Amino acid sequence: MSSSPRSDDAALLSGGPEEFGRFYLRHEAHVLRFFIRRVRGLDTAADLCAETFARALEHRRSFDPRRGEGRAWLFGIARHVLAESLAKGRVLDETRVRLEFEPLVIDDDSLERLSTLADDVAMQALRELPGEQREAVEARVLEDRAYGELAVTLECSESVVRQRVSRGLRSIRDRLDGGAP
Amino acid sequence: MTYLPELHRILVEGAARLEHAQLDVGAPSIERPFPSRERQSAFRRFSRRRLLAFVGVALLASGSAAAALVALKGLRSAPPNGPLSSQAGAGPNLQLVTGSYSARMTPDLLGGSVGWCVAEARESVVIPVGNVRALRRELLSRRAQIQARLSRANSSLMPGPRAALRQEVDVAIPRLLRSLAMPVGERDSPAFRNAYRSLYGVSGGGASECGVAAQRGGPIVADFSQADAGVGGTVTLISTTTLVLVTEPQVAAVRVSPTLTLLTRTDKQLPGGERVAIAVQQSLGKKTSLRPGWGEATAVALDRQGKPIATTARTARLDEKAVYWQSAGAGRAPTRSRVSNSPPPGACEIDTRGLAGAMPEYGIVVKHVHGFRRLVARAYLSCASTDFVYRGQAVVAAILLDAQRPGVLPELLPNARQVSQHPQAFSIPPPPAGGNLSITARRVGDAWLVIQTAAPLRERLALLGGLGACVRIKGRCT
Repeated sequence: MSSSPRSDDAALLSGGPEEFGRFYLRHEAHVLRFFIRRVRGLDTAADLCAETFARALEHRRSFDPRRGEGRAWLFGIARHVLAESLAKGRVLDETRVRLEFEPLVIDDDSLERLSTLADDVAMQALRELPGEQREAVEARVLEDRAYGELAVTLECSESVVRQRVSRGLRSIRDRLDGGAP
Repeated sequence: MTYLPELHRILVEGAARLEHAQLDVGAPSIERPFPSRERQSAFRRFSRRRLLAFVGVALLASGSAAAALVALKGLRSAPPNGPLSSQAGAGPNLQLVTGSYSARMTPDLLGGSVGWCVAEARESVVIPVGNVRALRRELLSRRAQIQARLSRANSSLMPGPRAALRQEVDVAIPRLLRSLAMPVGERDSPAFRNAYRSLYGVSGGGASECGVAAQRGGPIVADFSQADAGVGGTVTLISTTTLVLVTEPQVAAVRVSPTLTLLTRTDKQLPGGERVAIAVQQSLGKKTSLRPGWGEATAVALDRQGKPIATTARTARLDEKAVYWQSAGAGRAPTRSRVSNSPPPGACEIDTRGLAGAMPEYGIVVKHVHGFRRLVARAYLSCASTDFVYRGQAVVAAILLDAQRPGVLPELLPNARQVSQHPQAFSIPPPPAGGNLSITARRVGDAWLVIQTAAPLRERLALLGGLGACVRIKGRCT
């Protein structure tokens, strides 16, 4: 019988250090994507992620699987960390200080991996656009083609191309800023 | 795969510590381990180095509040040479400011001085990347102007300028016109940048400090900023700020301001073990400072644990007692110092008489060399220096000794490379950004005879060969 993610997360959060490490590995990419979409700077996203998991560790016993999945609980913490950081104008580190965590050193390899994740976030948002908008955004933004030229290629008026590009970019922006985690 | 293995390790270790804390007190619920006040403050100091440092708040294009979070780049030291990251300004004629910076450490050549000169330089070029039609119009207009000028003044133009204008019309402008078909990202290529230099020019700036050497009790060897350069047209202004610190070997980080701590790094230009911390910041709009609210306050050196390292050295500079002289015809302000057409005798002597037409201006000679044992890293002592003019070029010549152990051949100058087909000569090229002064050296006994000038390599080699040099550390002239 396979266990549900909810009970898995509960087991991991009520276990020992290794189990919490597995909980981190399970949700790391999702939390990083959440922050990469919302803040500028991979370093900042990584630091916010660290503070989120530090809080999760501190409060892991309060996780109640009856109230939702582990990921939803984690994103609740992430939203709080982000909101408080924005309100204070700095990345929070109070929990890490309290738990005596050593500073997170991000080496070049980690940055490289994070940048692939960041590219993935933006390209994923582009891929999810409706076909016509995606085509227009790719041609205009990535290939830097003129609106007049695109109108001929796409067999529509220039104003229609502008509208598609504008809507496509707005959708991407909305997705990166406030979309689902 | 994990994106942040370091964080995974920290979390697992943190969870283990929490578990132990619970077992120790036998408490059923979580006990928070409260660190000592010292540890907390040490951690805060260190965590700031790369976590925080929000210098200014910039909104992303979306304008959302969430996008306002910006972290300062380069909290880990930037490398000594590198490109300036491209910055796009806003407006109808989108511009991209790009370029490069360099921080160079070279031995201080001024007679009597010990240590290094640290020079920071950067250059920027504004590349228009938006509005392809406007760019095309501009290029065609420029081509028409040059063609008109060529036809008007064909006979009066000298061959050199005429060839340069023809080159622009026939090669540079067509290339730029073709480049307009490139995607925006590719327009920041070196080829594109170089092609645009002729049309849009380059701006730059820099700062330098000399006479610095790592000595016991002086953890910060050199500390300077800032060199702000606003670059941009009417549309936007982009400023670049740099900060360069050289430290003793044991300094792991430098707290520059309450919100900025820079990690130090080694560099092959400082082979004696000194470390360097460099920050480069670019921002749109007004000039910004890397030391907000700190004014001219001194940076604080930190050890590996994040604890401040005290400064106990009494003096920042190290000098041997030396005699200044200047030539009678040097045209400098009257001085009480010795006026002569040749340097006085001393521990080291530089003789320009072998160079026909060389005009000595002034110099500094160390009378007796004692050496500096308090140094904690390799440094050079300039035993004598002479400034002179040769074939219209300003030249500085110096004799460099090992500052700790005068009389023992100092190691080769860092970054120096043997000149091809001249096994006795070594050269340090000018930095990639800013400056055109090269250093070339040859061995003289247990010392290096060094010249610094903008002259090309062939002339530098001739200069080195024509200069006479004498080192009298062990009595006789070598």
